[in-house]
Amino acid sequence: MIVDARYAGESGVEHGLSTGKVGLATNQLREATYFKGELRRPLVFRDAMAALHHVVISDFRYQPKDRLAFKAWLAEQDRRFLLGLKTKSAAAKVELEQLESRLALLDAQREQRRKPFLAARQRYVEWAYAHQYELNYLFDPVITVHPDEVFFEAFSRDESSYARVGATHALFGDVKELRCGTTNIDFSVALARQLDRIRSYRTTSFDIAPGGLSVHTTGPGGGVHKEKKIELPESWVQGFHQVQSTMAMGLTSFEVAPIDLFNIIRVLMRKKTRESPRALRWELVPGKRIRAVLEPWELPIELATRHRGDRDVVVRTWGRDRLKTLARLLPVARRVTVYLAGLGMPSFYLVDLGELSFVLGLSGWTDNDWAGGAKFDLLTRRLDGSAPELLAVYAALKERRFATASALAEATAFGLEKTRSALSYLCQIGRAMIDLYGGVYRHRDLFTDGFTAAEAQRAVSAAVEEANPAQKAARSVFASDNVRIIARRPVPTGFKLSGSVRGTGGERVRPQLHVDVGGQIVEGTCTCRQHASYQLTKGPCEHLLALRLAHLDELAREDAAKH
Amino acid sequence: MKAPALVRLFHPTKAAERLAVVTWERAGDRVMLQVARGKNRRALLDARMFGPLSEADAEVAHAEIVAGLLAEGYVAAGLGQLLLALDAKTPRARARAALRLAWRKERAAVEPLLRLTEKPKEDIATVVDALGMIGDVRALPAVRGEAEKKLLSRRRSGVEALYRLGDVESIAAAKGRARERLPEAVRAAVATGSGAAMVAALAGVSVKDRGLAADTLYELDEPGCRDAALGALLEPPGSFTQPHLWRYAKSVWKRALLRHDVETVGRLSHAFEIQSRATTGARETLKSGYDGEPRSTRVFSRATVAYLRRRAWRWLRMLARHAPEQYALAAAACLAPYQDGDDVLKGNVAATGRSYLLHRILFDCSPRYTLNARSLTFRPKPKAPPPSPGVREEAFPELWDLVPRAYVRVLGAARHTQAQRFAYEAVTRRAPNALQQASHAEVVTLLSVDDPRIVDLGLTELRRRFDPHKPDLELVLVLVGSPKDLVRNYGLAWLGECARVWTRDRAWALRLLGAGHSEARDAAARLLLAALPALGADERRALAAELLARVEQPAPMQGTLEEGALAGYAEVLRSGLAAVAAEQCTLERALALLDAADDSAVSVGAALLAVKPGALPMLGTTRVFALAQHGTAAVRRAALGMLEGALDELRAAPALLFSLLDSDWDDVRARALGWLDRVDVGALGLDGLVGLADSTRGDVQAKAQAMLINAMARDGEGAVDVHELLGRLAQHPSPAMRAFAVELALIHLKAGYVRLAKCEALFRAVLFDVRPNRLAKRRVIDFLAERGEQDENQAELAAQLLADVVRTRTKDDHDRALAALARVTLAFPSAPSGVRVLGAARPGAAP
Repeated sequence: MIVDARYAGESGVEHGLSTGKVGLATNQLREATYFKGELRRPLVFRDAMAALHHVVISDFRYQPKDRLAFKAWLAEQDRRFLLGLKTKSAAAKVELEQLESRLALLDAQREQRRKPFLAARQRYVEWAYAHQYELNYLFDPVITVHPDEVFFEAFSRDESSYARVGATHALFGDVKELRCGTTNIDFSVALARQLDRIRSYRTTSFDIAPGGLSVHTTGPGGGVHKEKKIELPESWVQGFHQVQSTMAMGLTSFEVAPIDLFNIIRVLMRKKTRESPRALRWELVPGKRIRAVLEPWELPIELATRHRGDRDVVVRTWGRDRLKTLARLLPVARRVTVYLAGLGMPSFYLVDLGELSFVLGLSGWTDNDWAGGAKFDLLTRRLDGSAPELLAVYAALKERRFATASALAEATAFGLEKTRSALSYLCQIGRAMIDLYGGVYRHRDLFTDGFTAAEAQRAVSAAVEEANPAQKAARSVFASDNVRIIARRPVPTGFKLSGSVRGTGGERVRPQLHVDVGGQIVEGTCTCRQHASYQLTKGPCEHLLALRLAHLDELAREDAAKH
Repeated sequence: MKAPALVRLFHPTKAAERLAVVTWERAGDRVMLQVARGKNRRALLDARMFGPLSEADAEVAHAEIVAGLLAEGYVAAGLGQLLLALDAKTPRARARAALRLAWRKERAAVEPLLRLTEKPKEDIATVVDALGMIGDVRALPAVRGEAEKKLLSRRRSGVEALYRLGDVESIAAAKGRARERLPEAVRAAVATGSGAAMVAALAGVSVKDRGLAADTLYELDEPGCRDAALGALLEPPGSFTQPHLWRYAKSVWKRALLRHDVETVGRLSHAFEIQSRATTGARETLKSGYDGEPRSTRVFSRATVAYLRRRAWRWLRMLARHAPEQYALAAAACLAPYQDGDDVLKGNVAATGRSYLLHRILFDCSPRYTLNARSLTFRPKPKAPPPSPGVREEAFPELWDLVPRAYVRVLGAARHTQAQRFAYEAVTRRAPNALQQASHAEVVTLLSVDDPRIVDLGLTELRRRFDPHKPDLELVLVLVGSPKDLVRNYGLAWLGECARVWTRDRAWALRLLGAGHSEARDAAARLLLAALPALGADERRALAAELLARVEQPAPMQGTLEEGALAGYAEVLRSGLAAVAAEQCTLERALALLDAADDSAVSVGAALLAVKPGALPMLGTTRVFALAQHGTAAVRRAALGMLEGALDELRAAPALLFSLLDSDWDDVRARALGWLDRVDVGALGLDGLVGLADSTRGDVQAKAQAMLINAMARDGEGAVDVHELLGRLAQHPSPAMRAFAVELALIHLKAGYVRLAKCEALFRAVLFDVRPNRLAKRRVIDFLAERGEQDENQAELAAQLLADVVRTRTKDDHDRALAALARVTLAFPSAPSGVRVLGAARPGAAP
């Protein structure tokens, strides 16, 4: 999809001798969003934004070596060899050799002469590429102003990392102007460098406004400083939505001291390996210190934190190099909370910086972009309501900007389950987000188009249609009454279920499920072949989904009886 | 005076006097004319003599006699039979007769041909072709009608005939219809006039429609269309054998024959011939281009290709007979596509024996070969003697000698050894003046040939033509614009040799500055700049005005401006005529150039602003600073030049200078660093120095460190508050500045908790640096231990810091931090170190 952005001004940071100003220009094509205040802890803000930028530009995908020069050299060697074969006369061979050595000398001299030019050209190409990439491919971070905080969200270049910087209003003194909304900011390479100059001994104002640092009133287009047409791949959009799906799941969490994360990153920087496996394995044994083990060296790093759970948990995560993006935050972090979803599943690192929080979300693998192999949305609950209900929940959340599910359920009188279902779905379609740090749902429209009744209807229809084969199959199994809940008991974290399901292939299997209070799948096992091969890495099988549907149906009945 | 040829006339109806012959006989210096009539040439019984006459009178009388016979109904021999053949029962006979009459341009055939168009039959297309070839405007109504037909063959004949008849309105209407037939993308590309755009657009058209599009492009006959059409048909090689393309390839070929587009005929004929060796085609059900009916037909059949090959030679023969001056050039064009790789050594066929057209052209008169008419291959005759020296084997040798330029065409374009040898021998032995008659472009093509002898010929001729004192600048322009290095290098050398001539000629200077190759433009600019001082002031002003006009409103080349097309003009303006041009150019015009799409124009605008008085105040410092960050070096240079005059402003608002110091560009930073001393940032005190040190650039940071050290050394500690400085430097995120700050802290940090606390962020950054400076880290740990032993508050702070890092996996750091913690705990047990010291210890004793 093409995303348009138009900026009337330039984002930048002005540094005077004793004052400074951070001006972020907002996208004129989105709703008007303002914020004006003074940074109380500018250094922490600086480091958080630097880490955000680091995530935005990071690309940990495999970059094959450029072998063009080598291939050209090989081709030249072949040519010379063939030429030598053709040359029969000794005199001709001697002359050929002399000419070739003279040619080599001339080539070397030419290369030497051209070195400065080539270096300058290379620098220019890199500059032009960076800027052109920024204009055409780098989706500007999304910034949302809420009554209690301002937060920035961004996705990495390789679509495998998500970053969120949340700044509570306590970070700002003297908030002069505020208008809630969501927009994009023009976050250029130059801005990132300017942010590094923020200091605490300068009174630094923070301004989110259409003009940014300076409004351009002249030039072609009158009042437009920069226009961007970003070609956003569908995978980016889906990935962004998948992040919300995963954050809404039941996650295993524990605290990590900054020094522990430092140790992990240091090992990763010092040691390189081509051997597999290259996972970061978290070992949680009840009562014992949590261990982070770096494969394949089996290097354990023992954390200060002890596992408070009642059973062993071992989770392997990949793409651990992406943790280096947190290096900048280590000196200023108070603590880090790690959230794990399971084997090969996404993980989240929440860095507490006081008035700021930084959330780094990592997909299961670097190459496993959020929308690619794993269907995490299948792990979350499906939409359980009509279009008007979805619209009503959306409107209620938008009015409040942020709220818990229960508060919204009370406001809409829809019941908690239905409200949770609606909220979960709104997160999945980019109309809301889950604030891991604050524990609330927040209104956030990812793109410019408003959420209308027609779109709500489309969303409901899409949810019902369920393009995903497993989802469709689960619906069909549930509808044909081939699901039986054998056991269902509440647990502190939600419900544990076991059931018997006859799948679409006719086989009868025994799924077991643990769902949280919101209906999201925390963990599940099944005796079917798919689960035996992939576990949950490609999303849950139809049997688990059918069992969950049966559970949700039961929940809805209980909810209706209650209300 | 040469006697006129014998005139033989034929009467279609008089049997007894069917033949009339008029002859011219000399009798000394007088002439006798004889008119004989009879049944046939052996029975010329009625003979009359006229004369003796003088030559002049004989000529007049001869003409009168012939006119009189024609008036009696006699016609040229053969013509009558041809005219009669137009009424033949078979379409083939009618068509053949029509074509032959057309080649003769026989206007007597127009009426009979028009009658044939009234009831169109299978031969209608050929009839219309014939009408077009004859060129009589009486054919227009019929031809117009045919040009509107849907059927390809008829429409083609009609349109091509319109072209030959030159009816402007009808041609415009036909072109309009042709444009409508084109796919939209191709139509848009045609509107731009860019051949490259047309090629790209055609590539995007489906195969099913591509053929028609290519044929229609060729029909349009506009710039770029022909090459685009041929590109679509010939690339990739053999693509024209596809069902939906083959018909249109033949159509284009037929059009080329009608138009005498010899290059297209040559390329397509060669391509058909070579491809026929690889495939015999396939059977497909297609709509017939003849009558529109779908039928199963063989596409690219051997029979069709053989017909085309024979027809191509027949066409050449017709040219030789009826348009002899065109034969040699056409034959040269047909030879050009052949290469040595087309030769096949197989069986008892000659190496070139399968290259029908090449063999016909070069060896038709050779007694050494015999033609197998069925397979169209030439076999060497057994025991045939080798060719005698001087004996010519090519077809129509006299026609080659008639147009010696054709030899040069073959030399430059042909890649087949036999063809090159043929042309080389001709040029060196029989037609030494051929090269002299050739155009520059034709001679230049010789330089691209692999054969060094041919290259030498070309170079010798070019050298002969070139006189640096009276240079042929058209030749130089062709050479310097050549994409071939060898050719261009010669051109550049001569450009320099005749610089004295063209630099004084403004028109030529402008043309050469806009030459087709960037090297040529650069060289021309360099030479013109060197010659500028010799020009008068008026001349320079006029030149500047013209250059400015070209930069402001460039004429696009082939639809879009080529990158660097204005570089030559811009270089001269920037480097030699900036001041002169600035006088003539208003500030608004210069500003408008900054927004130009072309980089050269932008750089000119910047250069003009740099020398324009009052530019800086009008633009404003902010805008000039923005220009200093421009991607184009010339613009940055100009902006920095303007800023030279704004140093006072920099002093007042050093933030602007600091932004330059943070520039992405080395040249800007280098200049800004040079200004540092002049602006005297140090005079701003700590704020200024720290503002400088805050830079994110390594070179600026190094300069800042040096200035800070100087400031501290010069002024003494009292002037620069070291602790304030430390507190500020401690916040710098750069590892280099952090190391510097650590050094300062370790040396200068005074005792006391407050001082220590101000550096907490610095110490944290050093201790948590994932790319640590090992020495700095060790020294910080030791320093914290030292300070932690001094008082309780410092102990608490040091203990907190050390405790946060003691669990590091780096053994050395762990041991060091643990030891430091132990020291602090021993000194102040209440410090929250997390370390429990077992056993008592005297204060100050080693743990």
